[in-house]
Amino acid sequence: METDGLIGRIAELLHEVDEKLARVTPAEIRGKHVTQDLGLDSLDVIKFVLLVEEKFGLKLEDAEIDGRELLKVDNLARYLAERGAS
Amino acid sequence: MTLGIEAIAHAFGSRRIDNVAEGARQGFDSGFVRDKLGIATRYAAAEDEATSDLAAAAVKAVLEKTRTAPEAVGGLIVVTQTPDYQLPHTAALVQKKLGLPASIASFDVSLGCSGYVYGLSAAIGLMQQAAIERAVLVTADCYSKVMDAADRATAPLFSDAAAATVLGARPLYRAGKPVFGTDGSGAETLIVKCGGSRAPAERSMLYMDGRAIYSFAMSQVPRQVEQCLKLNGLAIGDIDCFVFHQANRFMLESLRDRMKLPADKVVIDVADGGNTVGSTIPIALEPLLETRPRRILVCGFGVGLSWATNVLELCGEH
Repeated sequence: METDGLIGRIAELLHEVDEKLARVTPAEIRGKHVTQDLGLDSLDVIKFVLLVEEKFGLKLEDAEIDGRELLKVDNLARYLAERGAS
Repeated sequence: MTLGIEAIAHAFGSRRIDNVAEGARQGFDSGFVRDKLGIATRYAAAEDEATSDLAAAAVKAVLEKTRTAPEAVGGLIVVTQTPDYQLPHTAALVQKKLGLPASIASFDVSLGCSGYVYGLSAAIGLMQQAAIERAVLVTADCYSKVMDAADRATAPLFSDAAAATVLGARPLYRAGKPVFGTDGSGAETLIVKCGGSRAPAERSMLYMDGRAIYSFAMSQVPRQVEQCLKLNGLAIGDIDCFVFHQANRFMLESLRDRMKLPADKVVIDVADGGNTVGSTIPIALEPLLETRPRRILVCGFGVGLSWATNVLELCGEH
């Protein structure tokens, strides 16, 4: 499944969430977890998830975020691709 | 007769908490508490202190500040969701504590963070209808009594406090046209499930779905601010000061960024006291009554879900 473009868009959202990630590239976030590897705190995650919902026009339930480990960038990109995002 | 805000005073719970040290004990990074939440100090009521005690202290302070005799107060509205008792209403307890006249019109309003903006409209409407010249609007809550001190979602945010606003015919600020909102489908996102008629025997503590509340605020607040400005024939540039419900620094900065508001016009007053529920707006307004910006937008949002916005305008003679 082609997720390169989506990982690029996720990187753009991370630029908005945390100024420390303002220059992060898609290659640098591939395979990373947004809290464990990229350093988002619990409030950043709230903001990040809202931005994902708004930019991709979908609703992420907590159970889904936990169950599918959507805070891992690659999992999130795959999830978005399954839902027809590009 | 123009009625509006004459003066404000507040009172905190008597137990002062170093929020950074307390946060560290719960595993929070000090930078997260101090800079991200922006809350350095919180206050909790003592064991023998309840909402009516804080309310009475705030009312006493504002009556002293304005040299108002208790018998001159014709109306008393207490906005609270943590009353001393299920019944009677907390306003009656405050009336007794301060020796306010038996002829006073007094009642409680059950609202949280939107309560001050609602309360202004309720109080001014009452005063106009009943020809009351001077009333006191109180916001008061003791969330510490219904919170689990170990709950990481709520513990570092809330303080116990009350704020009292004297409303009268010689106002510094008059309120414009309000806009209100309610969405009961979000009732369970900020809730204490016990103590009411649904589950009278249960014991449960405050629950907050922080993500849902953040999402609600980011979607509803900008929209309502725009509606309120339009209703009052104003634009964002006409507002000198934005006083949103002071939930925490992160929430306020997110709202500011989302609405592209100038940083120097958005009040962030959470360091000393944090989220005092319905009292955050009057506590943040209190110093502004000294500096007196011409127009202040006030916007409360939270439990309900409920939200309310209005514009306060400096009265001509000031």
